[in-house]
Amino acid sequence: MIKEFAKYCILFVTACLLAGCINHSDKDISYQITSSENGYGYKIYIDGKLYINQPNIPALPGMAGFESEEDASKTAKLAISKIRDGIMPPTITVNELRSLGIKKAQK
Amino acid sequence: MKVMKKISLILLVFSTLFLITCKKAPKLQVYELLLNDELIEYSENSVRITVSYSYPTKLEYVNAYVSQSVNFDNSTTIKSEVNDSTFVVNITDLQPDIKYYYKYEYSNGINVVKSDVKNFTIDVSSLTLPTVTTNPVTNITTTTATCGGVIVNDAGYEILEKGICWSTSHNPTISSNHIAYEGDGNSFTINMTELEPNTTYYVKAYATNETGTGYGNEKTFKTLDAGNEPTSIPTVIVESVLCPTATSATINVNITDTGGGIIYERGIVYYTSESDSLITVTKNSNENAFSVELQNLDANLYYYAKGYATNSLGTGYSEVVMFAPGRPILDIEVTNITKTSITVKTKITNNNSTITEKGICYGQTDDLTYYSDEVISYPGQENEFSININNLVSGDKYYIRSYAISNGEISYSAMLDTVTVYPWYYKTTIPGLPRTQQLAFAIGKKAYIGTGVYQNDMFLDDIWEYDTENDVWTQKANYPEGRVRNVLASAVNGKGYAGLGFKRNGTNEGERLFSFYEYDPVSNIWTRKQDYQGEINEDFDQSSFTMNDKVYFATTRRFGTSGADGGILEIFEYDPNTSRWTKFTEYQLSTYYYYGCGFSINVIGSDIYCYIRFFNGNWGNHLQAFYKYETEFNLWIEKQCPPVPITYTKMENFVMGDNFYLFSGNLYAGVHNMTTYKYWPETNTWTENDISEPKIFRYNPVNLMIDGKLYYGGGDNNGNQSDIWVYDPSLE
Repeated sequence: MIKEFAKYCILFVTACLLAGCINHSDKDISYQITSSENGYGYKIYIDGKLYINQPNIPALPGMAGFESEEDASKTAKLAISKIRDGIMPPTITVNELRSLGIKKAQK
Repeated sequence: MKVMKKISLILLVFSTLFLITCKKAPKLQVYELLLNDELIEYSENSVRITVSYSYPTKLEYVNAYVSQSVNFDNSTTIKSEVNDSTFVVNITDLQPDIKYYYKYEYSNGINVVKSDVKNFTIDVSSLTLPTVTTNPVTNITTTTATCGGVIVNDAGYEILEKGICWSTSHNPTISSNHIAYEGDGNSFTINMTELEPNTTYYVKAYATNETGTGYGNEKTFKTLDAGNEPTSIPTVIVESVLCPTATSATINVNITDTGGGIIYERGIVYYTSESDSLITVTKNSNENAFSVELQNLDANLYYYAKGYATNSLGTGYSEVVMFAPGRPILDIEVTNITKTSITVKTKITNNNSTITEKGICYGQTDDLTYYSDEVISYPGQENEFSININNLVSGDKYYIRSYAISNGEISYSAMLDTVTVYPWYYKTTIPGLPRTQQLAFAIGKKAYIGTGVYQNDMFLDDIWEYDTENDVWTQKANYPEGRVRNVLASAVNGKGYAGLGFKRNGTNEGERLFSFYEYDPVSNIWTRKQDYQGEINEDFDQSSFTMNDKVYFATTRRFGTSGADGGILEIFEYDPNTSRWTKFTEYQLSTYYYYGCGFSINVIGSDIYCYIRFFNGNWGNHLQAFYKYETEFNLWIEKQCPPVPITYTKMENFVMGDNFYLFSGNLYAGVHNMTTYKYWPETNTWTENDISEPKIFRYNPVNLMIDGKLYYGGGDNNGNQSDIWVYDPSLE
């Protein structure tokens, strides 16, 4: 798959609470898959404004991005689902990466 | 003299009336009238011509001129019967087989325009044929289209067949392509199929009786180019509405997306505040951007309009726009926002009536009106004016509207709200969990914030990078020790350094750490370095700072079990070049109360200032000490303490210019001291509240200087927080 042709996906979700501290009620949350020489990444937008730019795999050392669009998309959706469910902020843990089967991009 | 006065008065009245008349003369609009279909019904010595027209209003009158001469010698004038969208001309006393010329003269009540010259001839042999009209062609695709017709008059004979015929050349007949309609009734609709793409066709409805076939008027259409079929209905916007007079409006519409197909109808629909029945005005244009002009509007009404465009998939509409041609339109803009003033610019357009008063009104609630809030009127005659609002409160929110009064009614602009400048303002929110006792350091214009305590039983290990220039967060590599709190951190030479702290080990206290790490933002990698070499025996009495590209950790600790046993203040230095810790300096504290619960340290030039608040065993009864260490002379000097009330525990600090500041004092019972204290090294004195009061209070917060601004937030205030505020001294 050619990185330059990475598709951009937008997912709008409804309002949610962010860990009881940031009230995102009535806000649109969306994500976009990005690509760079390090692999795939994602961006999360709240009400159209870029809030998180994640060009590499969160929580892990190094600059490697995700190996595939699918991995980046799964992780972005996990981050957004945490916001949507109002359970957690969009922090990604190493265990979650493991359970999603996320792989680092090979340079 | 009296006669002269009367004459002058009369002249004044007439000249005024003349001027008013001149000013109000509307533009010629009637030439934009569109004549659509023309149906001519023949009899032996008369014809009846029915013309449908498109015009925003009903025409005032239409006259027809008929003559046997193309020059209209000895012409007859016939007044037509005018309806909303049609007019009918009955011409009598005609003779068969003679060519008659005719033209129309129509008026909107203001101006008069004449049509082109046309002609007709009564063909007696055709009088027994049915009279048919052809409907407009719709649903045009690459290979299909829909058309139909109406039998207006069967000429007294039974209709044997009806349908449509078409051809790629003018005047199609039933000898060319045609489809008969099998149903009953005088109206019929038929789908044409197997057409050629991108081809112009001519189509007519027809009806046949025993005397022959009568044809309707000819319609033209062009099939779509192959591959050019629409994929969606058109997208339409109304770009602007102008009201040149109190009774007219120009609606500027733009088809921003045709949907990929041909637009075969466009225009506007509108209704008024008095009637919700829709009025459609079709525009005969091939341009995506078009204007529709409305005349004879009611100056007392509000109008609601939307543009539309139709392709073969359907009709797309714009959003509804409101306009009131008889009322002024006010545009408002707020500029020059300072701590205590703003400038409000107003532009009045659509000014078709006499405005007796105008200005702005403002207040601090959003139910702003001319009657209930502060009003500043503008005395000038200009339609564009600026008004300054002064003596506002810094950092407060204000609502502002412009107003204009005409004919006893108030028109308002949109309501804006603005916040006057305040040097402390909200900037962003840490994406992770709200936390206190977090680590924080800054590299260039990026802040790195992470770890800390979310709740007593939950320490954190995530690290976030905040790009202050682009206002964007990125989650970075976790802190390598895992979930920790009270890690000290600083940055020099483009790298972060973090160490000490407590690691979660099943208890709230956690395990004391001495590990020390270097963080490289380029590689996003933490590397363990030499462990911290000093001693630690307390929790909150540590702080870090940098000086001359080296990292310093400062601690205090008690020697014995009571304050009288004394204590020590130690500073250790880490040199990134050698990756080694060495003891930098120490100061013996003759009296060390219980423990130092607040430790603020910072550097001005080559001097280190150290402010400590001691807990002496009784909450609400704290002591303080303030020292200066001159590195050049290895000299500790006790300095004047600030007038901080004894009830407060920890204080935050920052350095701007040559001054050391303390702020964010915390009273253990939850009451906070928002006073700021500024230290003047030259006079060894303190002043209070030289800067604006912080908007928030935080205990164990993020406290970073980035690009001359203080980033302050997170931490604890009735629960852990994640919002970050900025103090910008340039806004003072």
